[in-house]
Amino acid sequence: MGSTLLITRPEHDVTTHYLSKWSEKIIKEAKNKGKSVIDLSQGATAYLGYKEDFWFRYNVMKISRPLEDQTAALFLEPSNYLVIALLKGHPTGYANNKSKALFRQNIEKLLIKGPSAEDYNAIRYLYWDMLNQVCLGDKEATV
Amino acid sequence: MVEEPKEKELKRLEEEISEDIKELVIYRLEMLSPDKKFSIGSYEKEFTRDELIEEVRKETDIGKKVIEVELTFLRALKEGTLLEEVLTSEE
Repeated sequence: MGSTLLITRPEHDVTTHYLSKWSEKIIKEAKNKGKSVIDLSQGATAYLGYKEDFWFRYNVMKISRPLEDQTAALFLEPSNYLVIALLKGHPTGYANNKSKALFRQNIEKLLIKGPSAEDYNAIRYLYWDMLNQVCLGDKEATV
Repeated sequence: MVEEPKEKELKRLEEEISEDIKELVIYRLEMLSPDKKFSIGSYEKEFTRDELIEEVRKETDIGKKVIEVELTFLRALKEGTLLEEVLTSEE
């Protein structure tokens, strides 16, 4: 029996609107991989997520076009990669490490650009998310 | 129970440090662009920079989280763990 993906996408406020739009990338990837729905919650052998609140910043000028928001992308591309990696068939431990590496790359880019970079002050929140992202349970689990 | 002078002094120092930390966090928040908002965990409300500053001043739950995020980052800078983790990105 094939894997299935379950994504809930409420859009009742700005945060869920952003997450919903960014989840479209995951859904597209799932479809490209020939998967319909993957339920990560039922019978879970691993948990991929955050042990503290996930923070992200967004540009209020981009609310109508969340996918063009480069500030939000700094946060949501690495976190989205958790699911993208699973869809590519990678195990949970790898997905977590690779996603953290993407957070680190974004931090590194901002450090190199220096304090004049528009999102230089986002580093502390990227660091927080990276630090608190965890893979609990089976690190070899795949979907 | 009457507090010993030394305990009183320690308590006063702790409070002062706490005020210093709050001021430091507020100072750092003031450097953020006002045209960007924050989404924090499952909080339904989004926060502007100035709203976060107010939360810190009032020491609300959100305000305490803001302080924790700032201190975690500053500690990582001080201890060199931020760069260390950035430089070892390939695990």
